[in-house]
Amino acid sequence: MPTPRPLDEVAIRTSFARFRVASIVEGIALLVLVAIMVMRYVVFGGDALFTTTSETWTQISEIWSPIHGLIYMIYVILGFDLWVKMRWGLPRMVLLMFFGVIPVLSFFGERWTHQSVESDLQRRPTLQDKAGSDRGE
Amino acid sequence: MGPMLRVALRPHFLGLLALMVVATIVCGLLATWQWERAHHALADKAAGAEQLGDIRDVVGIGDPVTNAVVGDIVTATGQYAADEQIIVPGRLIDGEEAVIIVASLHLDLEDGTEARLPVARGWVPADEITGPDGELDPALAPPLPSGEVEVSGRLEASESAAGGIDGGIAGEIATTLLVNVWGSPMYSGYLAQVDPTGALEPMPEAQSEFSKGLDWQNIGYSLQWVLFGGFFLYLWWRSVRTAHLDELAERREAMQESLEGPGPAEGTARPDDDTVHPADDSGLTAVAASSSPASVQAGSTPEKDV
Repeated sequence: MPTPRPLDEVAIRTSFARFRVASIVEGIALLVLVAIMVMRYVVFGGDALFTTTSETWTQISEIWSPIHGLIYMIYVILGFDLWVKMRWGLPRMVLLMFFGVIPVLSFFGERWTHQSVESDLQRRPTLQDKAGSDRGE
Repeated sequence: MGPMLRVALRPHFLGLLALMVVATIVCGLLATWQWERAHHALADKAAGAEQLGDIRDVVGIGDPVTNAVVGDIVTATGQYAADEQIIVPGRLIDGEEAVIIVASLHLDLEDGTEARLPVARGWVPADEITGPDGELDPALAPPLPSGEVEVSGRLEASESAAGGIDGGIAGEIATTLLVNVWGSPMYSGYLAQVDPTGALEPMPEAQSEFSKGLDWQNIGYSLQWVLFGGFFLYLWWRSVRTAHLDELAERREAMQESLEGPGPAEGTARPDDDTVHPADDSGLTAVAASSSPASVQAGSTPEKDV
């Protein structure tokens, strides 16, 4: 395996900024979905599990579920973009996807990802510090 | 043979490709499955209504009226109970405000017990059943035939109940409501009579999301599986390209070193190089960084995309 090329710090910071927004939006969207499910199946729950007596909450849930699905897809795509640029291993991608499916976890996941990005950018060579030394000649 | 293709044909990447192709095929199968699900209802009803004969041989008491039999023609023989008839107003049939007449046909079962089958006898225009006070009057509905009758019509699934039954007037043809008013045992579906008697008009075919044919949710899932399948191939192509670009960069660096001779490029790197690189995260925000790439990268024509 050849040595990996240096990271592009500028592109990575742009990617991370996008991913951060997606994380927060996905986190909120998931909480909204959980709230709708609680209203649909618990507050207005029927006798059996996962039955409901509320037509309104069924409709709200039918509208929000696909919207949340779309938000999650965008979250995964932006996470993938960051993952590719950071040249992380496959388990890290699975972890990023996992952050988006557990309520509240995406907020912590975003902070953890931020720290990983920062420490990697310091530890590993980047295009930008190379360019700096080139200009120094 | 291009250099990138040469990278792709290495055992490592061929193995990876085999893995990704398997994943893509699995996605393709799942896409096909969803595609078929989407067309299931359509294909099942394309042949038109089937004659299924006596209802007692088609569905049992409490059995759901599944998509396999819904809309097919069944017959039932029994007696109407004189006081068991309701009207379902608020329908628009052929541009006319219609009221559906639903009665309870008592059938003798093979085990000697009796069961109720709701029969939508047909519909009448709303004004025919409106009393002098302007209110709908169930008593004005066409009278029930007495004695043993044989009715024939489409077997339909119960509509979902939204309201209740009040004074012989219901919002839906819902067996869950009727069973509370008329009693059990009762079939879970109803029969929509196609050859009504007297002043009644024949029932139109019931519309449901499922019998309308294409299920767009399944179509959506199918397309998603296609996308996922394509993604695995993209991932493979991406890793081949990354390896290829890494090697290019490595070779270029080696060449540069051999041209410049040993030393200066590495040797003159400033000792304070580490401080040039921002150590704190507040120093280089995304906004600040995006404003300067041209000048930063001018020196070394780097591969911008990794």
